[in-house]
Amino acid sequence: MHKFILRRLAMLIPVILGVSFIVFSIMDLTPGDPVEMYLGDNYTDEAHASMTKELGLDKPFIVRYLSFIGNAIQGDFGISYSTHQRVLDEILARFPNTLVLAIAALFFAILAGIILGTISAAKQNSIFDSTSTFAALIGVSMPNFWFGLMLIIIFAAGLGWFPSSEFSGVKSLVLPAIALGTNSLAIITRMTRSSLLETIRQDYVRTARAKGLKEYKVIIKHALRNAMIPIITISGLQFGFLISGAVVIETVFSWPGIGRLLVEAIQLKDTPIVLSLVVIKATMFTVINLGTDIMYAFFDPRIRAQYKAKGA
Amino acid sequence: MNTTIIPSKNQGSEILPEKKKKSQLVSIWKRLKKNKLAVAGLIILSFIGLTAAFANVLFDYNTVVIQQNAAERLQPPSAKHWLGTDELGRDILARIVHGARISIPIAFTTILIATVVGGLIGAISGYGSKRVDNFIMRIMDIFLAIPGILLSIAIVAALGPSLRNLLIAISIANIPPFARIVRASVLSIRNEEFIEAARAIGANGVRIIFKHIIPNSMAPVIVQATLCIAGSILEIAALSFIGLGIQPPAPEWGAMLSGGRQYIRYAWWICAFPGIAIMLTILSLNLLGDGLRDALDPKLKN
Repeated sequence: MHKFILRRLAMLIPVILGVSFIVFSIMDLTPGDPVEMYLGDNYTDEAHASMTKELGLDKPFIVRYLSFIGNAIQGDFGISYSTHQRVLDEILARFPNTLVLAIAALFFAILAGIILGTISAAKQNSIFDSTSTFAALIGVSMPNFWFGLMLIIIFAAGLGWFPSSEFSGVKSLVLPAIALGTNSLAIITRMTRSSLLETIRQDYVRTARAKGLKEYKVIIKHALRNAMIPIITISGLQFGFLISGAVVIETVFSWPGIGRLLVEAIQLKDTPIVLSLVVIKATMFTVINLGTDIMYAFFDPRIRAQYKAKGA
Repeated sequence: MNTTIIPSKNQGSEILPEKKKKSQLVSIWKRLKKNKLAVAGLIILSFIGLTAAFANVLFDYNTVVIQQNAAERLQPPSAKHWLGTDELGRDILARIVHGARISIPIAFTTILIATVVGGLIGAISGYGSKRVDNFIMRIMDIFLAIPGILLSIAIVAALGPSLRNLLIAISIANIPPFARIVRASVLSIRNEEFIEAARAIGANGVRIIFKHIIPNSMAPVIVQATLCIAGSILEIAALSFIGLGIQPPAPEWGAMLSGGRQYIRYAWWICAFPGIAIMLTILSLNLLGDGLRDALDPKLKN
């Protein structure tokens, strides 16, 4: 088991290096002079030259890339062009907000998704089942930023139940979390339904029914527990998307997270922040996916046994 | 004797594949027809396609879609403006209809590029030596490690927002899944007997890839392409919404949402309808994609 985790962790290194190399190359293509962006409009030629040296822009591409990696490992992601603060500080100041939003959205999606999917599967072909299946279809087809706008129109502007953009307390978390979590909710609902439909047909479920257990006990204790593995996997992957892909939804709700920071930085052409954010987000995405893989192995006794038998 | 047999054989082999192809298409279509949701998707999609094709007949681009009309700004839906007007007095229905002419062709083009490039990469990877395969797939893994939308944002942010860069960004972000799918199906058929037979009669690698492997791995690619077009439309809208895609005054759906955002407190219709257009298009593509998957490969169902 440890060897399995170690091996997977080792595979992370080339992926992260590759991602950072790709993003660094893309950012290097950015037209415009970074020194000019850093200094603003008024500067002397001397200041320009010394700043070029200070930012290391006089060095060749590969040297700049390696020093970016070297510094990044030490937690130094450079200085923001627009605020002249350390990039890492800027990101760390915003990151907790994104984390809270992603966790709230995931919690909402898992809870509601498992409940809806379970009822759908238990009452297959009922009206509830077809309604929730169709709702899930709409849920995956809906742009989440549009859904966010609709939530604002109905619940913030119309009914006034929730604030639309002020950032204050739990109440301001509700709408963004629902808007962000709905796509995942739909995906988890579908996965729960299909996975449960598979386990419901298994012999051990028939046995459980035959020995006279109550239906809800059969579903929850025997069928759902065995159906959990794909649900956990898909939820983990969704968490990766929620935390790294939630760029647009933060813009809709003016949520001060790293997604919003990314959009702001793009508009200000603040390359160090854009570069660092994309690399950090992609890294988080990969690490979360790895965590999901490991969890998956951990939750399934069959997979665990496989690794034990191999002596790994 | 030879002279009598060979032509008849040739005739047979010329007719047979065509017949087989036709009957395959017919049976796929028959299976697809049974799937009500897929047919619904196809109908909605055809409707969207038709309105987009005749958009210029329905609404003139310069006078209705682009020209601002201060006297009619922020009008709610009415008999004159079915879906209301936006903050610059332009008819929203007209803009949505013309918007389909932007999103749908761009989405098709990006996925076409991604399918061709990804398919080639996948075919080379699956058919090539183990070292080539390993090398290519590790690079694809790296691309897959970046969420598609994030990769697109990074590319457009670097190159600057324009139609061309949007095309590049979304195409690149969509290449890895196609490479993977084609590679997987190549691996599953590369040792089939008909490939061996082709090799035995002296066909080279390129011919085998193009003539035998690619046609035989089309089914999963078509399904994936349908679903990816939906994803591409979503990405175009999302990028335009944050100002990195199609620029105003072009009536792109995501850009319309972005423009109407400030007015949602007084004019819900500006934001509501373009989003419904995005949703309907994606929904119908998803329905069609799911239906195609079942129709092309009945084994996969359930």
